[in-house]
Amino acid sequence: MAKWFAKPPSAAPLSEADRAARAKLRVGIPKVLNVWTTHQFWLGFFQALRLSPRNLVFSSDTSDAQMREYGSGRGTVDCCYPVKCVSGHYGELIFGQKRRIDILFSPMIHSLSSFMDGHVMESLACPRVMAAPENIKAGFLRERDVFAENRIAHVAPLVTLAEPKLVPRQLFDALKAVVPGLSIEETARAVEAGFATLAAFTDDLRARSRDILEWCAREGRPCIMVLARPYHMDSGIGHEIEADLQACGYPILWSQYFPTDPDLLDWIFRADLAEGLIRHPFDIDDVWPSSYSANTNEILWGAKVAARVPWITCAIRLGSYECGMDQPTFTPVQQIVERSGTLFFSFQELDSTKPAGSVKIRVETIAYYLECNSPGVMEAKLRHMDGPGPLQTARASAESPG
Amino acid sequence: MNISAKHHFRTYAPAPVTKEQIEHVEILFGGLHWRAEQVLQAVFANMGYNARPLPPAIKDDLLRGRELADIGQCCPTSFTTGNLANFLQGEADRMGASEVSDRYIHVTAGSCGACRFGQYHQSYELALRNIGLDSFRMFLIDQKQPEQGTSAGGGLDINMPLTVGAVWGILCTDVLQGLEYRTRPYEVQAGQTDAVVAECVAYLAEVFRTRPYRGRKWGTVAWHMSTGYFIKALREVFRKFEAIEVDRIRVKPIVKITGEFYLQTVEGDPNYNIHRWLESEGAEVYPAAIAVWLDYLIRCQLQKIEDYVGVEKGARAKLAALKGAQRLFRWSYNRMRAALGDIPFEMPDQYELRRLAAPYFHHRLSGGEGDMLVGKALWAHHKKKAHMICELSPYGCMPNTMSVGAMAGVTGKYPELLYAPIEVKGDAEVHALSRCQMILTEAKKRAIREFVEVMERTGLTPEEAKPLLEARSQMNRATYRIPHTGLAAGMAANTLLHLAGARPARQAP
Amino acid sequence: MKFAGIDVGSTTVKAVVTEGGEVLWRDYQRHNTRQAEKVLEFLERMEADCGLTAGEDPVFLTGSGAGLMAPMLGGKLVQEVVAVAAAVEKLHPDVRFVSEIGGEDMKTIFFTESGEGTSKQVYMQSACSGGTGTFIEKTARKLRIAPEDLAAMPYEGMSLHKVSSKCGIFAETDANTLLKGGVPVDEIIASLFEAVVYQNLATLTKGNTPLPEVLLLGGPNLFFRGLQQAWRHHLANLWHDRGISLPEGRSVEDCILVPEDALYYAALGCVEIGRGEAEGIGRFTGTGKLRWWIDEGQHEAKAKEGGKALARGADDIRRFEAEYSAADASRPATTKPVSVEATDPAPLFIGCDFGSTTAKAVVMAADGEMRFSTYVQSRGNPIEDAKSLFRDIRAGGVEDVAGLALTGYGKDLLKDILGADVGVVETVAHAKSALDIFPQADVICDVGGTDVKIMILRQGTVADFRLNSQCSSGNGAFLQGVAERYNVPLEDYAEKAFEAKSMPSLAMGCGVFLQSDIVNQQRKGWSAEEIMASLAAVLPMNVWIYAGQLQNLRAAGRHFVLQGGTHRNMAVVKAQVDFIKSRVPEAEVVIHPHSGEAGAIGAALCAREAWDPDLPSRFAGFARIEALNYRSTTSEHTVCTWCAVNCKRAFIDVEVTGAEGRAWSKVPLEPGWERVISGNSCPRGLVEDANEMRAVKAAMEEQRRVYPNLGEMVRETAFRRAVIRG
Repeated sequence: MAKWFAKPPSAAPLSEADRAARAKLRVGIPKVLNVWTTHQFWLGFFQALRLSPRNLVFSSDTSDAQMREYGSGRGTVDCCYPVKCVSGHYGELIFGQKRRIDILFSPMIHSLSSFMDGHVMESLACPRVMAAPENIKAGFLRERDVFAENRIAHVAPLVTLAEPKLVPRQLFDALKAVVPGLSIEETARAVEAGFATLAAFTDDLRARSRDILEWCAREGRPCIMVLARPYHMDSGIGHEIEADLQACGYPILWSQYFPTDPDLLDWIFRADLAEGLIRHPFDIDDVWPSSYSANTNEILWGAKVAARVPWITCAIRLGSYECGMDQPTFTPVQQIVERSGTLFFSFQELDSTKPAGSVKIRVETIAYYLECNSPGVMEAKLRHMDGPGPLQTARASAESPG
Repeated sequence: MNISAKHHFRTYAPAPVTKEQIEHVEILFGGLHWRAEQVLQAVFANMGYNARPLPPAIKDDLLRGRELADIGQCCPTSFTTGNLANFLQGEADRMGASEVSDRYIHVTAGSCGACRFGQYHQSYELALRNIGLDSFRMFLIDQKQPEQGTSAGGGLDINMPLTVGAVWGILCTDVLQGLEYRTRPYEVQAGQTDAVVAECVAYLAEVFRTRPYRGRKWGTVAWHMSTGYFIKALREVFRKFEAIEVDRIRVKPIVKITGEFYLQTVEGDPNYNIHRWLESEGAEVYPAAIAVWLDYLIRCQLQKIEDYVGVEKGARAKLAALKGAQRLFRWSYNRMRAALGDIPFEMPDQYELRRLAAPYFHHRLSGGEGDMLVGKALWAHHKKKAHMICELSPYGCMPNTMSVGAMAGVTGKYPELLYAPIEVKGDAEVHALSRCQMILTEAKKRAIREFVEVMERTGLTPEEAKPLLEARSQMNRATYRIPHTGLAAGMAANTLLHLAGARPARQAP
Repeated sequence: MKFAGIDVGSTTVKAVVTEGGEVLWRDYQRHNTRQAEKVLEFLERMEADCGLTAGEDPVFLTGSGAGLMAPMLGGKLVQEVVAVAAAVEKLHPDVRFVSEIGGEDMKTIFFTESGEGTSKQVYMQSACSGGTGTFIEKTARKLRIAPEDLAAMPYEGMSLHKVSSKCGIFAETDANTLLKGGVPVDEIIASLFEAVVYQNLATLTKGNTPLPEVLLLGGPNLFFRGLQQAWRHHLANLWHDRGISLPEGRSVEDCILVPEDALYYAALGCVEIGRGEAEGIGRFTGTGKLRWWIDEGQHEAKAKEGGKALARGADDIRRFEAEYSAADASRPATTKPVSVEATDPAPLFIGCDFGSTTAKAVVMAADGEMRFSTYVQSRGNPIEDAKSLFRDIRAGGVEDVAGLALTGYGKDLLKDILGADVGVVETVAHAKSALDIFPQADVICDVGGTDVKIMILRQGTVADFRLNSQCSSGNGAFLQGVAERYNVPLEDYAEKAFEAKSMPSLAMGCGVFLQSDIVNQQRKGWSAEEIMASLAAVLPMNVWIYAGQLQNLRAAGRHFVLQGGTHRNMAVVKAQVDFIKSRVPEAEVVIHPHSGEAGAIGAALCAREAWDPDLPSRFAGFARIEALNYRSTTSEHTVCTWCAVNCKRAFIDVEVTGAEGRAWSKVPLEPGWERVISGNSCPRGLVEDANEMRAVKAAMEEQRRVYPNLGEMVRETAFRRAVIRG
């Protein structure tokens, strides 16, 4: 967490007028790309600026209908689907709200705060993903200024979440003109609140993941790890493929929310650490030396975890059509998972439509092999582990993993 | 002991190259235009290494590259991957795989960040594995650090003299390329420029091969900065150009090449030979200097520090030091440019590019050429440096598609800016070139209109200009500099203005 | 000086000769794939009629055939869009948007006024048939609509249906389905016009708004009244939505121009460009070289291009046939029934594959030997199909059944009714049967009549699966179509194709364009067998790369199994083997010996695997299957409402002890009955309606509640109000 804020300066109290103005301010945030991993940061941040939670609206999940109704004709260049569909989210926030928003807040997230920071080269966002707002806004500006016509301020600050010291200024500069009475000190405190909110949310989900794993260990049951970018959680981007497998009776973990408790990580990576292959459980130098991208790093790390944790008997890779970030990682991720005997299946050509027929066949196929192979995979992986781990020794707490 | 750690997947790690081995090893490199590659080979030789550029990438390399690596690569990665694989495969067929692994190593620029071209070594590794050359050794050089010490085994030493030599080699060939492209479209005797350039590159290579040794640390940097060694050589190059007679009253549109680094730099199949094609269609090509890219890399570093000014102690001092280094770099380029009569285009100011691009593309958005694409297009447009921008945009390039998209905002605001983003897939040549021809037709009209306006303004016609030019015979030489007036972009129009004695107009602020 | 402009298009040649801005001569004719001949004829007439002179007057050419001919004539090549734009700028200075739709391509041009004249943005596409003239004409031919009728068919006032706009093949399938569903032909055509305009606007505007005035160019835009109406409709809506005002006193109709002489625009534009070129550029050098090309050159080119064939001589074929004779084309589709009781009374397993067009069954002994096989063409009632299969099996002498497994499309429908022990997904069934004959198998490539399936195996599991059932490139139906065109029975295809000593190169890709390419090759003088050979040769590319999207065969593995009906064609097998080995030299390629029954065999293997001698099979028994009591319902309540196609389904309700029934249905079903749905055209139709969807969803929700999913938690909680702690 950001501990840089040595001496919290006392900000001037907010005037009544400013407070009232802020209470009315409506902010629309497109629910796209890395907002899928920073959601709670933004909510915590804006709430700390005393905006009403009622007035913080996200666009809906991506869908064809959304794109057709609000985004068609706004695209300026052929691009990957997750970026292209941002036009639809913009349009929905501008044209599709019952109550008009005042600010379309679309952060250009340059880097992300990742649990792997300090053990990787950088935690950057994909170049397309970070630049998406510049590209998408051009479609709303090139003929006429749609934002101005609708009395909406397009606020797209570049934020370096991996460098928290820089964030207050980045957000202050972007928001000072639209948030009445804003000061840099107040922004800094709100940033801190944002990070804290996000951390609390993430911790909570990690704890849930740990519950699942403990249940698996106790019951000797398999689970599935999803290796994907955060925005594949969007039902219009990832098509909820993992939920189809969930319905076959397998709990689903996502690498982003894998528990990071030291006792567990030590157990998982003990052998690698002992052999000096890695310096830390978060070190992925042994499999992926170009550790620049936060999402890629977390996928690679997730693959390593999936390869080692006995109850994860299958990893599912989701990737969007022609994703340039995923492309070089296809083979390494597959190899990492498969070398350990863990099953690996990938859906790497996801686009706007869910190929329902072929997904159904594939899900049935995966479910078949999971059922046949899971006991063997668990047994073989357990044999390789260095004694029973913290998951096995945890006390029973619930009947179902949830 | 537990066996699990052993059988897990590990990434490719090249075997070391020892000092003994390096004597018998040939270093392969590539990815630039032939002038720079030839001089870099000489720089390696100067440092005692046996090196050679890979053959120019061709269409077959593209297909091979696509076949050997994971699906969905950008087209430059396919070209370079296939190029390396095809070359090594050919050699392996001749001498066997193990001999190839002993005989050659590959050195390439390392990742420039989180784009997929920045991770291309992954594709190389996969391709090498797929053609059965797992043990082939490949080394990455970090672009951001001038000096990186010796590689494992101590055989390859990426040190200051090598790095500075490479940079100076690039600067020299950059200015040479600039002079070449300002000359060839106007040469009276077809083919003469090419012959002179070939001679000059060979000469420069010799100059670099026999470069004196001036220490392995900062001494060598100081020497490169201060010496007249390279300037003298460039003056010799300039002298060779003197022989070329030119006719600058040919009205030609100037087409500025921008785009992704690899595509704008190479001259060959990877960009449909677009430089030559444009010239054959009657344009003067304004090529993209590698020096500008290096300047941009320095700016990126500066920007990172800039953000910390006022946040972290010492940032201001670091900023000042790096700014100083950038000034020295630019000064060195300008010195070389001056040695070629200031005829090659100048290096645009990075901060001006950033200011111009700001409304459309944030300067901190990293990957590829970032805001520079937008900035360069506007710079050339506002300053009348070119009639048209031809942006080479690789199929599947991540950062590039983003700035091309943002350019929609620019062309919305400046509809008169002639902008041709050419998507380069490698195998859809007709499509791309016809798109370019479309905009070029407009650029030709623009050049003609501009010329007619200048005729009206100066009262000079080409017929009247002829005797004036003949009277001042030095003006028909490739080495005569026609000043850029800022009133017109084209060479012919500027020549008329120059003849009419028009003084250079002040740049609009 | 005279200027000639010639536009050599994919179906027609258009040309003009001008002098001093006056048009002296013009003509427009179909070339019936004889481009060069037509151009020569035109040039000779130009010379005779208006004195076009070699060595003096310049010639400018454009269009798809111009690249080849310009150098032979001394002419200069002008890019098509450049030419069209030049003509438009001269003739219609107020036009801001042009759509030109050609036979095999489409383009848009946006003109923007700027300080220094106009700037232009061009977008075009020619890789795919979606949105082009061929897209409409191909489907119209299928619907047997005469060209003159097509031209007059309206768009206005028609109710529209969803037709895929992306690909001609998809569209044809959609049109077929609509036709089957009883949709009138003119509504289908109107829907096609809709799809074309949608596709043009969706892919070729890139953030620009088409502003008035608009110019519609190209054959389809000129000839099809309905297409013009569709444009007017869409543009009017667009202008209304975006608040774009029309010029004073002009209606939408006035602002959308379809000039009668638009066919000549590219040729006129050539002349326009040519007038701006320096003197000497494009000077006509006479017709000599072109004549030489027609008489000799093209034949030489053919000879040069040829030389390669499916096989390198008779030896090569012999060697190949010796290796792959097991899968000889003369082998019947199914093995003959064998009397079972005499040979083997041991446990017998039945595997059934209920596909969309056929149902197959095999009987397997405990040793894995296939004892019997049979199949029926599906007649649209799965119960009757099943009865027929089991009647055959019983007649074959099978009495005791140790296990029954089902696979294919119908497995879920019939599992309980037939009392199957196992229901296996197709991929698993195919993998089982392939691994049974070839334990190292890495890749299974199944090319059927209408689809292509590629399964990639790793660690003994189907790790990757590609299914392409929507695109004809690569499947057997396409080969069949061509064989029929040449009156060659499909069984003789290979023999004919092997006769070819050389063959043309066909480009991989869209089947629609391959068809027109064939016409082109025929014209160049390639014979039926040569074209059949080349088609077999291009099939692997279409299967693996175009349909399968698998560039990197090596990564898929070394051991390939080919199966499916199309691999009975040995010419295809030869091409496949050569292709695979060129990519993976160390590859081993085998043909599945029971190519067509692979799915059923895999199912039988699964039944054997699941067999427990101590437990009885769930198999309902021959007598019960024969006596299955069912009733069929077809009414307004059985019509599928998931999409606009509205398939007229049949609900076949079967009496099964212990079945739950469907109390919630609009066609309620009492307990003790099970419902089978047929007559649907896609998998969605297997779900009855929203009521069933709710029932299915509820069951899934319960399952999801028990087994959590972190992604779902994010979807549900992350975008709600933040809980700010401490």
